[in-house]
Amino acid sequence: MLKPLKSNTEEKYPKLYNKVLDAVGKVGNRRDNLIAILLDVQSVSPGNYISKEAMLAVSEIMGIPAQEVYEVATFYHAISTKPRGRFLIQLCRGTSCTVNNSVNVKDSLEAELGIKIGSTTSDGIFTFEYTPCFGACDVSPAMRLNGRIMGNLTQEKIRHIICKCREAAENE
Amino acid sequence: MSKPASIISKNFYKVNPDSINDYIAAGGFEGLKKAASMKPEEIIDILDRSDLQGRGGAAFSVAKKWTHALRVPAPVKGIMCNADEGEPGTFKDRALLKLNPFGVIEGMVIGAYVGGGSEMNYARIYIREEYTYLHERMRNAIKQAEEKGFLGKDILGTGLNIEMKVVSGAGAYVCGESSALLESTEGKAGRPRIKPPRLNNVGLYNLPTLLNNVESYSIVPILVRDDSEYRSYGTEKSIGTKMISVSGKVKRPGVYEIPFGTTIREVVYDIAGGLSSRLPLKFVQIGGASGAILPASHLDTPISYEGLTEIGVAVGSGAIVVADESSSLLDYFDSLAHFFAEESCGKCTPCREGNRQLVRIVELMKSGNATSADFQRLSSILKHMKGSSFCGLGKTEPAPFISAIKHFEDEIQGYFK
Repeated sequence: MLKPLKSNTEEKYPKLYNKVLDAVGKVGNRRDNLIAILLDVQSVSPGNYISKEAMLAVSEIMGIPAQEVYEVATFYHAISTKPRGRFLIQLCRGTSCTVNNSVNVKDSLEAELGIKIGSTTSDGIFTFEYTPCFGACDVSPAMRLNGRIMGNLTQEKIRHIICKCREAAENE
Repeated sequence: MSKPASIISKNFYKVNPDSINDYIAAGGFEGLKKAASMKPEEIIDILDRSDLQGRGGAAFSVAKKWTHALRVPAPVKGIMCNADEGEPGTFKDRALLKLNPFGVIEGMVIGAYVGGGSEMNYARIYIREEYTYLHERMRNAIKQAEEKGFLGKDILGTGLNIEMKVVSGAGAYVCGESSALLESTEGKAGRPRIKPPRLNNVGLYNLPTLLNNVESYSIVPILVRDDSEYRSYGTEKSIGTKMISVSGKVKRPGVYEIPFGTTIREVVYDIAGGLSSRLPLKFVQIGGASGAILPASHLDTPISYEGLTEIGVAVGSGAIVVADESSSLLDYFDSLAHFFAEESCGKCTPCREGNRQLVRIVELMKSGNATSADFQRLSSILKHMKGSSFCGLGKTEPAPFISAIKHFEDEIQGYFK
């Protein structure tokens, strides 16, 4: 794998740099793999996000200007440039879910988590946000928990799911 | 009593989607084998005979598109499949990818045979990030098709070469727009390109590119193999069947295949089992988030190109969202306005700023502070967005607002002082 002769980013953040090198090595250093690489780096980063340093490392290793990496990283919803919780809860705000009273789901989740939608709990376990329709309208109202679809949500179901997440977080 | 059809969805739940042998045993790749013995023009004639129109939403004639592709000979071309199904309320492509992945591949290979490059074809299936769980299935399908010689070098002795890959989206509705999809496939931010040049001339990696929706590709092998059954369905002007996604307040939400000409009422009450609540139906939205909102009085409209055009509505992606009397149009507007504001790519002013204003006005309506001047502003913004946006997102987005204002004038006016 070809890399720059001398890199400030590598000196300062060797661990992160190697992670990015791995991700690029897996799929190959081609411009059309940029989105896949950013998603991959994000998935192995603590906080489930792309930091400024990660963007710089991607830029150096792939030879793409940093502002272009930044442009792509900020354009797509699936790539976050802010740290997120251990569990990412994305509530659908689509039309079907609205018709099926996703507002009740939102209220229950807010009560259960103790935060408003669009924020992260202070212990860093949960991030709760809206997301556009992800095509699970047949089981609406629905949400994604770390990418996994959970549908036909009711208050009991939400309580159960959050409870399980809390347990899992404690055991880690 | 109206029943769903089973032509495009023939293999659903009957053929193992992870096994190419099962697909072949069910008659799979026979369409491709037959196509390989025909001239490209003959295949286009078959598509033209059924008047197959693009199923992503724009409803452009597939035969015309493929004829254009045939007229642009090039050694290397791009073959794209749009599986970035972002239209709220639509999930029919999810079903096709999940339950009939080989059908999509077969359709793409036939597409490459007709309108592809003579030396090499870069085929890409762009699947949205939200369907990550389908990426592996599709990669597995591609691998099996390669092993059987339906992909790769010199397919079925025709000299056709295809290199097929799955590309993941990363959550952007605008990437469903054809040129934005290509930008995203190339690893850039998914903003639409200016046209012309058309994708037929300059597309993926600046190569001439053929791009179709998942459903369009899925139908092609069926038509090439034997189109008599498909053609026995539908109306005089809309031949065949359509995959639709029904959701909202119905008992059996899901993906169904219906013959063109089935009325909205039959879909809601027969196929989807009627409303899930005891309240009467208030409105339906046809064709996704940018489709029209229709009141109960329009339920007897047939779902066909000519039937819906008559009342100024498009078939679109084939989504039908049903709402009962408990749903308020304001909540619905709220969902739509925030969705579009979030998803506008920001390239052109009418869409970027228009959406910002739409959200502002909807927020005013919610707080009860909207005035009649705001209503005027809303109408004017919608008109300008429709007329002067850069791509289909901004151009079609005003449809639900305009139709709702038309059909539910009293309720909407009630939100403005």
